[in-house]
Amino acid sequence: MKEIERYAQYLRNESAAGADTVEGGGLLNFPLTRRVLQVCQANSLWPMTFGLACCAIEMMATGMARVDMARYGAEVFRPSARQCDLLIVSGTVTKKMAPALMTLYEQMPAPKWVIAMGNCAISGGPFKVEENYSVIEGVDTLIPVDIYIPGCPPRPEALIEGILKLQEKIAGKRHPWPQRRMKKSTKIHPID
Amino acid sequence: MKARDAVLKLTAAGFIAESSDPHGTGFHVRVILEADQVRAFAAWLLDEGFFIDFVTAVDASPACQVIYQFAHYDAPCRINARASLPESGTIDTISDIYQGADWHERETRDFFGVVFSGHPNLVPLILCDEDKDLKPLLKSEANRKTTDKLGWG
Repeated sequence: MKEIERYAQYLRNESAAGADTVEGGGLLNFPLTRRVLQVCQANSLWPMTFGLACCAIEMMATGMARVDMARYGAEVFRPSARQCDLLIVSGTVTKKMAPALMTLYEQMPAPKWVIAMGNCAISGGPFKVEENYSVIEGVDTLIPVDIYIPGCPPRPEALIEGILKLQEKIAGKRHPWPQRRMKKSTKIHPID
Repeated sequence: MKARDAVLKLTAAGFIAESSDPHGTGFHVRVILEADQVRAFAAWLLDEGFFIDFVTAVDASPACQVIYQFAHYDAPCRINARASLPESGTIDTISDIYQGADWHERETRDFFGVVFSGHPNLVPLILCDEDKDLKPLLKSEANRKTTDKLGWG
């Protein structure tokens, strides 16, 4: 656990010092190239299969037919961390799972983003009581989190909203090109 | 039918057994064991065709109670046995008789500190390595109830 905490502190120091986990390198640092890359990254987030507990069911539902993540490009779940750029921590992280989480986060190549889905990942959720002896109270004590999705569990629509907010964070505006907003009068699905 | 036979056969084999209302308690036979009878009991049950359901413990006073539950595939007979843990905190393992008890005994050691002597691999199952002596489910002196107040059913 000590190594975990040391690595988490190192990550915090890095982000405090302004390290970018999302910038390209020297060659790709032109504004136009960066814009193009951001649009590409936002529209094809590859999440990792990191469903730990009940939120995993909602994540699976979000990938299925009724609420479909593939509309936004984020349906390609990969079990290998080296092929992913999005880590959706959906579920309770226990002290026993913490080293595995850190290993997988380290294995993801930059640029990478983290969504903390559900109350357990945000703050320990229903387990944040005095008698708690094994649940990590908030995954952001270990790794830097970009988007928090509250809920126990959050509805699939809430996870979609989190992904849209992440796309906004990456590309600068909600529904980056080539996504098209549905007209307000369309009543098929409430997500815009 | 099998439940009544089971009580008679168990008493004949030397264990203290009584029948119990399954609708109220969930099991058909209640057995009280000495710590040294546990292996003989498990071997007898394996001969009779029972399978293991779980092994766990309850922190009561004067001693921790180790609970075993067995059931039968063919006839409705569920047996709940409990053994008082001796002061050494060690009880015999039944994991060589019932391999299914292996992980249950590891979990019981994690949460209650019950050491199963003869267990091939008594390492933490659920708790992380640095918490292996935490024993989170043991109760404080004030909260511990005596075995007769526990309402075994």
